[in-house]
Amino acid sequence: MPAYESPLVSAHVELGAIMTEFADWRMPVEYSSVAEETHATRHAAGLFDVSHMGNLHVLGPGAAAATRELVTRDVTAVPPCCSGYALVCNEKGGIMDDLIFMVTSESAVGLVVNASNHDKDVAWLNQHLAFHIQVELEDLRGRSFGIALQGPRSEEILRSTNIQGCFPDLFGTFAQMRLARVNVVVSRTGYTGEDGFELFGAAEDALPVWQTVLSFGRDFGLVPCGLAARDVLRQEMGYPLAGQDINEETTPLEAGLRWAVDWTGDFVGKSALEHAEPARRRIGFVMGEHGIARHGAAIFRGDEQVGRVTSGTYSHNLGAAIGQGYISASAGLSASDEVEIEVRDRRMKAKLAKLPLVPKKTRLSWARSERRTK
Amino acid sequence: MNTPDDLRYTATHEWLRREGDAVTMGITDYAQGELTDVVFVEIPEVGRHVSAGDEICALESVKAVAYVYAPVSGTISAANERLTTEPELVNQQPYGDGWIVRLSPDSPEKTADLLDAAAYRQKVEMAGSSH
Repeated sequence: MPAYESPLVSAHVELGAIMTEFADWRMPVEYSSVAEETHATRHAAGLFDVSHMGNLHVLGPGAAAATRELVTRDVTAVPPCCSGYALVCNEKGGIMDDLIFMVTSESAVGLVVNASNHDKDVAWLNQHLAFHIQVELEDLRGRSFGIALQGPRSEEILRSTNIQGCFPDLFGTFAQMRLARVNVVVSRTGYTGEDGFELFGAAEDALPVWQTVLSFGRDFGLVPCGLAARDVLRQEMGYPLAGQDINEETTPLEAGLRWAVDWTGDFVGKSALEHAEPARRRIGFVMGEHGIARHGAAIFRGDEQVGRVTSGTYSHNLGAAIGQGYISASAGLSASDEVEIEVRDRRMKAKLAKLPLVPKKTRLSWARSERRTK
Repeated sequence: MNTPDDLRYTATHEWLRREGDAVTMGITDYAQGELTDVVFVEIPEVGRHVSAGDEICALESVKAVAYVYAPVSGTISAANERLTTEPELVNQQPYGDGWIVRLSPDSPEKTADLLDAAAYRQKVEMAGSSH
């Protein structure tokens, strides 16, 4: 039995979800079908339980400055109530995890981390934060919920619930709001590439929030979605999954995540990254045959192996098997080049593709909006 | 989890229906649920002889690849070509239009040794059904 279960398990079981164990959490993998769930998220909206994501808070005077030393983004320069994507690197510049930071003030920074890396992250953060006597790490595992509302109709749905408070309009901003008579942090972020929100709050408030959003959302085409659909949607966007597409052996430069590194200020891994020469890079692909190339599959150009697949699945939205992997820089390959990938002991045709494979539709972000007004 | 009483089952989640000397087979409702959406079905070659335990064909779902195994020895007498364009039938009607192959068993009476519905259900529940 998994050690943790979502506070929404009873709701999932009632909805007929197939449950699974993921990173020691009992979570829903599918409700109706992956085809229906991924279609709804791209064309209306999908509701995801993301309570397994680690919900950490760095608190105390100097919290933002202390966090800056451990992540690739300069969180000290982030305005209050803004969030963003960052990586946690080791001294060699290898990626330990990716996360969403949420800056409340210079003395309060929230970190949403991967469930599979939760223990490792907490140990790493505690080890480094020990030097900052006034800063402490709060871990809300088992005491909080996370619910993602994703898709083009997300805002209409959320507004229809009579949600109270100041609505976050820009991507990567968040606000403390009231929904279903409970306090909810509403963040305009997500893992699908669609406009949408992630709602966070106390575990005991999870059910009313889930049920309210789902019941108001049904008229807009909202459907509950499981982890299987979430994985397909993130792969369509080319978002990496930590531990699978990025790990301590890959650097942000190889992974195409240079944009998530701020070179101002110091952070663990910076000096290694400044001198790194990426020997391979992450790229997407679309299969030309009836097979799914999964984690570990070898990628060939002619007889030469040029790379390896890190994630693969089937996209009903694209009507093809898709995925991502790394190809060696020396192979000189780029998007739309033909390759072959080993699937079930046979080589199948595939075409390399630029990520994302599906156009990103998130709102204008606070960072871009600031740049425009400058 | 739907497990019709008139079928035979295997521990690898295939079902069989006796039709005279032939058997029709597919994967169980439990198996299709665990796999999530089936998106590709490899159509096996008609006329090929398989021994009990041999791999007949592969199914690819969003989540994993799964193989269909021959529960008894025999010759593949038909394959469900519709699954090339409508693989979702395996999820939607696992015991109906989502059938996968027909076999002409070498010894049709051997199918009687396979699991009945109650025994299959018990096996799934013991394995810790996640439904």
